[in-house]
Amino acid sequence: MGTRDMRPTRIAATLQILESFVNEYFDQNPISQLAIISTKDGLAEKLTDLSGNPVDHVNALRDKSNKDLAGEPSLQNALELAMHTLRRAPTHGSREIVCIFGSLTTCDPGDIKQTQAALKHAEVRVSMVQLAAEVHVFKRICQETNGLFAVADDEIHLKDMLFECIPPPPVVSAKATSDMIQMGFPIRASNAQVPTPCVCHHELSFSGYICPRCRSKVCSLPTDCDVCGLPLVSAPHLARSYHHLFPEENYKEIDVEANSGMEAAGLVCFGCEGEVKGAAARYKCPRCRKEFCLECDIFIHETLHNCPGCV
Amino acid sequence: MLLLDGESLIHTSPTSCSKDEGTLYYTTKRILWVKQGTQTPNIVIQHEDFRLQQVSKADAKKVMLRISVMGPGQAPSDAPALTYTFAWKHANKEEALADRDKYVNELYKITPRKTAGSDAAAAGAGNAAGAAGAGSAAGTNGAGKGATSMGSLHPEFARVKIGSDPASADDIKLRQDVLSKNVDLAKLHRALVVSGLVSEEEFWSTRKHILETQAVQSQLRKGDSSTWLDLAPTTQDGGNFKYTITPNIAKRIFKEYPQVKRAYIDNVPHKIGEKQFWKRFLASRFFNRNRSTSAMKGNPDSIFDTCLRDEDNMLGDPERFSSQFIMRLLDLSRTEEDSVETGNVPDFTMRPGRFNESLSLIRRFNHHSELVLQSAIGTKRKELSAPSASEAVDRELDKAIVLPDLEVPRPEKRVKLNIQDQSRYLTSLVKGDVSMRSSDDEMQQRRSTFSISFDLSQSLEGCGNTQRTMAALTGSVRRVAFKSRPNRIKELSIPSSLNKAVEECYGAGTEMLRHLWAIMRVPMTPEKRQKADKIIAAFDSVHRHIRDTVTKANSAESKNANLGSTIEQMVQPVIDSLKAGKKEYERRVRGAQVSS
Repeated sequence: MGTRDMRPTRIAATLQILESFVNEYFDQNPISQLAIISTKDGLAEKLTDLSGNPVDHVNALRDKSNKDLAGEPSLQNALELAMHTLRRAPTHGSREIVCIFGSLTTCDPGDIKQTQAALKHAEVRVSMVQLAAEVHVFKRICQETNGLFAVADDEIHLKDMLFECIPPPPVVSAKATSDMIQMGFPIRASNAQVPTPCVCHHELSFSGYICPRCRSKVCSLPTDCDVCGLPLVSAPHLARSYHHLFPEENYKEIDVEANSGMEAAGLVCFGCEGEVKGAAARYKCPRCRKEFCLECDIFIHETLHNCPGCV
Repeated sequence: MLLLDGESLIHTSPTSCSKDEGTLYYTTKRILWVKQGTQTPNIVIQHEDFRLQQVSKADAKKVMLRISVMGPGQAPSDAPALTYTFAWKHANKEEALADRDKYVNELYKITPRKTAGSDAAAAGAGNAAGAAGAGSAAGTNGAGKGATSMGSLHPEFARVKIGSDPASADDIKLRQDVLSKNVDLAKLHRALVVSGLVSEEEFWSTRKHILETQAVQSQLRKGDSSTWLDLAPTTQDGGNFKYTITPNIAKRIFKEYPQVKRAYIDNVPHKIGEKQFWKRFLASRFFNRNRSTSAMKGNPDSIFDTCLRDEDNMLGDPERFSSQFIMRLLDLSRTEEDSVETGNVPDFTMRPGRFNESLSLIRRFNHHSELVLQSAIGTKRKELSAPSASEAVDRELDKAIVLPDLEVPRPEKRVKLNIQDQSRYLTSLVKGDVSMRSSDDEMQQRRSTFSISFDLSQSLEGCGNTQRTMAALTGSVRRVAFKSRPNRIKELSIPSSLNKAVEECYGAGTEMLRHLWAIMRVPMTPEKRQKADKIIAAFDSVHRHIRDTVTKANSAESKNANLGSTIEQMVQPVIDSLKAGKKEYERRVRGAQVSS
């Protein structure tokens, strides 16, 4: 990881891209949790535990002491530690391991085929982005567990490949059932006069969120209540995760020349009420049959995730 | 085999013990093993004598169970004297593991818990060094119990051992590791446990997952490095070279050169000392043959010259690879007939072994690569005997010919989300008239509001009360800035003793609540209920502590005149949480009583 084929070194470029990955990941999946594990000198070490707060992870990534390089990496140790950490995750979610690997070798204490079988059994999806070259063993692990495997050419490619792992994977196994889980929606408490400690860090603060079940104060959302274990989220968080489950259908493109007899030139787009000039294509929602211009189409599908005509 | 009065059979399995086949019986009072062909049981273990059990690792080839038992005439505090090992023969490993797990679960129920009671008192004092002696007996006990304390014993994860009730020396070390790595937890530990508010066991009982993770992390082993071992000397002043040979390096040398290992075993320590051995090794021709030009070839040496000769013989032996077992794809001789004579002069460049100096180096490189591959693949080259080999060979050829990259990717089956009442998700919550299509006039009006023309030369007089607007704006900004000023907490000038007292109240209250909610999450059993009652009783002590703090605050000297009321407000949330927890518990208990 110390080679300078990526500026300034592979490890520095990787850490930077990982920071933006963490932020983007929690943006797209606010009620999910992440843990970071690093491997060097034949052993694996957990840098952060499973948590839903991006600040912890970004701090760990910026920590200078984690930038030391030593010895050979060990993929098996890292995968075993990751699997053990994922055990605690609830079964109604998907479990994934994403690796960025810069080495062509791995120094393992046992047979990595067994680890591969264990991963497959536990239905953990392993994705990997290689920085050096394709290694058959790594590719096989990713394929067996239905993950993505890519070899990055440069930093931009690395970022693209890494960000492909952000959207949640579709559920493939037949064993997954959709059960109800209990979640809490805490109210914000801002006591203007007197500070009180929060239960997660025991630090005095003036504002926080009160858990609806046990009435203890937590400092930020989304998180699990430290006292009673209830997952606490706010409605926007759920809404953001929701749009992965029900994505908007793509709009049909209507060629103006084809139906030149029908709508005269100068149709008004339903989204922005701006005029759609004659030659430009219009996009029609299949459900509400409203027509939109190109910018509104892009905005609806990438940012809004709801069709204004259907809502 | 006779059962005693009141005894009934729970499990039975065919197992072997000490290389004899037999049957293992588990009854309500005893564990029995009968050798095949006999009637009377050879091994009889009373449940009271059973002390500890151990299981073989899930990835070991044999499925085994070892039981440690007190022998006759032993005092209760002695370590168990007798051990029996039972092995399952299996066609299907999963079945054998499931079978063995049945016994493990039964034995776990009768595992004695209070044997290391006196040891736990010493161990629990927190001094690992002091408890090392007592802890080793408790350690095996704890570790043994730990092996069975994983409820489901899933094969992949059965390696982790956590001590249960009495804290073993490993446990204590684990806890210290966790505390040294995690600053927040250490602070909390100091505040709660060291000051005596919460006992050590209780503190760790809700934080088991942290201990588990640390245990797993510390159990990771380093694998053998596969790089080519090149002992490079460091130059010291005076022109001397210094070679460092650690035990790790010595192990790698032995792996690479088995002749050196044999020489080591033969000669050290009776003929020459270890240091001498390594000195001679480094000075010998064996070590130095390829390192430099002929000038510094090294001195002749009795031990290592034999090593040299052995190696040349072994590596240079043309019969090393028996030609029958070469895979068809790799056998170059098969395609010799395809390389027809061309009009060129026959090739003389690529001839192996042309230069004598590099010959041994090349041979050693190849041997090293062979070792690395063998360790990765595991099995030696399989024998391909003629008749059944054809399918295997075809499969090999198939694997080499069919490239997955060139195949059309098959989309994986996706499971559709199954929601009971789908209509509720897709309808909007807008009530009333939904027709939003505005008329043309309205649209024109709306669009005209967005097209604004400026005339900067116009003065602002008569524009409305700008002063009031500005005052409102700056007022709100000031309020927000006031709220987020940096030293707000310090301004309250709470004396540090009071601060600490408040923190203690919170710490104790939160810990109690944690335990209470953890108990309430699982369905109630009588013992859990007792524990919960104890916790509720402990709430009173927390309340008392809070009251003391408030009275102290009221009587304390401070710059803050309202110190008393401030402190009261500060502790109000924890009082609320305690009340909420108690109410919920009582509601559950009442609910359970009503339903029972």
